[in-house]
Amino acid sequence: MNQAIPKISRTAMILAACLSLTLLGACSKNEPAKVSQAGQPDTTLASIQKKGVITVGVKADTPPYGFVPQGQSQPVGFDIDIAHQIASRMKVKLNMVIVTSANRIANLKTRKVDILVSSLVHTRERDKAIDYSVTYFADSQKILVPRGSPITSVADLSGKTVAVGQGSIQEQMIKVLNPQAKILSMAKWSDTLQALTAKQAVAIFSAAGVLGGLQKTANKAGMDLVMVGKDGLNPIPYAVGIRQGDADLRDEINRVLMDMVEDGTYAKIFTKWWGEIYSQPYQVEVWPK
Amino acid sequence: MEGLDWNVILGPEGRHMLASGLAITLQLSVYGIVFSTLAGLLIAMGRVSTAPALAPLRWFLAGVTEVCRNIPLLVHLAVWNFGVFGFAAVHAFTEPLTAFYSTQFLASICALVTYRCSYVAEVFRSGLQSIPKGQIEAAMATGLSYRATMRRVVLPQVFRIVIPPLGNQYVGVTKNTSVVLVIGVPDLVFQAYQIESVTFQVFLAFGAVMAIFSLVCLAESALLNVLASHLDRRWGGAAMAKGARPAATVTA
Amino acid sequence: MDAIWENLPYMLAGLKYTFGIAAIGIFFSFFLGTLLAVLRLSPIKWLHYPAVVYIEVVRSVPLILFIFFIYFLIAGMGYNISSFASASVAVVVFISTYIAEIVRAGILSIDSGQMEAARATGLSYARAMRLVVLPQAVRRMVPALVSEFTIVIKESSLAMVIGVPEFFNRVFTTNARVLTEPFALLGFAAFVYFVICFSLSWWSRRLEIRMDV
Repeated sequence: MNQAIPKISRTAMILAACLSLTLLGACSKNEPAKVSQAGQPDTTLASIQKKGVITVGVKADTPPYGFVPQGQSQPVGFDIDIAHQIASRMKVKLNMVIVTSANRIANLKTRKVDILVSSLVHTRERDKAIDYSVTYFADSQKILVPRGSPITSVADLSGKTVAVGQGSIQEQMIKVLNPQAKILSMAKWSDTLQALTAKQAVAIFSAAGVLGGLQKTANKAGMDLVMVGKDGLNPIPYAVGIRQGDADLRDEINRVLMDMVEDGTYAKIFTKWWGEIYSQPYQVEVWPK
Repeated sequence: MEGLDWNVILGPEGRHMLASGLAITLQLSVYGIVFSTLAGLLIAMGRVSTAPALAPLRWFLAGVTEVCRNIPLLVHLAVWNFGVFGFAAVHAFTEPLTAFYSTQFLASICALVTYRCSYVAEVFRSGLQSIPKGQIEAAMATGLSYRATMRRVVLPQVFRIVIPPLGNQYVGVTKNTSVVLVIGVPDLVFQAYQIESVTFQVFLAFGAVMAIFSLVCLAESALLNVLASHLDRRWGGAAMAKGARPAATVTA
Repeated sequence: MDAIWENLPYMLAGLKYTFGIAAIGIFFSFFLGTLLAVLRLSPIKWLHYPAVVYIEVVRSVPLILFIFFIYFLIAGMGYNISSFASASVAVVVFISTYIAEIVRAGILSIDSGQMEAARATGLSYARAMRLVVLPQAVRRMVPALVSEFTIVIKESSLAMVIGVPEFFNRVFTTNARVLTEPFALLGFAAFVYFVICFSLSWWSRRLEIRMDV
């Protein structure tokens, strides 16, 4: 078209300006800590005790830590029970917020939750960003194979293809434990079962908790899978996530966890969720009084 | 934005991961482009044939292209990877290749081809059909053999018409390779996801890969545009005055 | 085949999300795309070139990267955005560049005489666009928009990578649970997509024929 198009009107320019301002405005919001009467910001612990409510981030998609059973609407699980105990022992109400692996750290840092009990693994990298309580659970790594498979340990995986989840800790771990193993990273852990069925992998390497869930699914579908590997292989530590600077809250959580172990509540919760896989409850670190 | 740790993409480990991802992406693109061109050309030639005996073939090809084009790439990928390549017989057949390429890589190429070949076939078909019959008749009337007619008269015109839309399809193949991480092929997007899950540097990890893809695709379009103008100059004849731009261009 | 019947309601419910992403995507892309098209058609250099660069760059990046980027970026800032919303935003950002092309072609296809006549009656450029050119252009764009809608329906399957429970994600999850009937389930997914997309493109072709009258 050769017709000269006249300057676009002010309306369009105002629209464009508004659009760019909206996009620029979408920056991270960091709520400041609430300020008490005296002008000093409350510590998280103090504000929890004042409000009488603790907001805990939990998972709803990771059995058996936190998941929503068929036909129900609220999540249940190992972490949920621990969270209930923490709240009742701190004598506050529990407010659960469902988080995902993608947003849980951010939720903690931006004060949407006070603590995280969300299948949170204690890694040195993450320790730079947040703080952790004592380890309240450690899951050893095992291998899931079809019954009758010759594979019994990580060493047997040399030259074979083993399936793991993309971005998981096990993906890094297997590279170190057996550099000769061929790795197939699937988008979700449930996809590793599909890879196993399609004979694109001969084994799945993961924590016993994850493998337990996969094994149940496979057995229901008629596949006979067994967990092999010795106990205590490279246990990954799970701990409660706490913001950096909330040292008093961390001490309180540690105290609550150790109380739970001493009066036997922890063992009950542990056996309820992990009894099928582990015969002995995990030995949580308990400091002498 | 919190501290951007440029080291995750500029450090040796990050660079190595991105490089290996880019290598896989480029390999997938090249194989995808080559095989979908071949498949598309064959399908197009089948569809433009006029022999009445080949009518069932034409119907079959029309049906296949219509089906392939209306199914998302992910479904193609899943069917090839978990369906076809799930059979022991297929595994045995591709045994010699698995030393170089994993089963998922092969399945990805198959999926890219079946998804893209219907579009490529359309491009070739309209290109072939746009040459008026008069051209062939006139050329043969001047004494050229059928082969020479094809080589000297028909195909140069077809190529000129076909390169820009074909170029668009090729850039499409390159972008399509980004979905293969779903079946576990360690391409560029996979590496971005890896870097992000360890370091949580979303902006840098995915931003870097977006930039790399952008560069690759824009370079590809530019290259194909140059090829198109070059062919225009060689075979465009009187229609192409100096400095005139080709009728269509390749965009990302 | 049993796996299909048993899980049919669960899988088909995912189509809500598939169509949801497509509808929201096309709806908002239309506005953003029109804005981009107008900017691209503008003779003012500092409006025209950024629009061109934006369109070219966004189209050279695969949609799946946008989906990941927007999802993790927003989640990483602490917002509890649903994966459906992230996927929709990513689709809008990506598809608006294609819509921009459709709108541009639609506007350019309207005879320049229309714009000249409208200006001659005293309407400003914006009002002429809004009252005379765009209504006619939109009618011409409808077949291409329907065709773009079909494309988004297919691209919506990519949203599964961030966990949107749309149709293909549900079929895939069902397969991961059932494990023994991959061909049946995946074939079913292919069939459903084929029926939806084929019908839509047939409708688009019919609209195109009708528009030419």
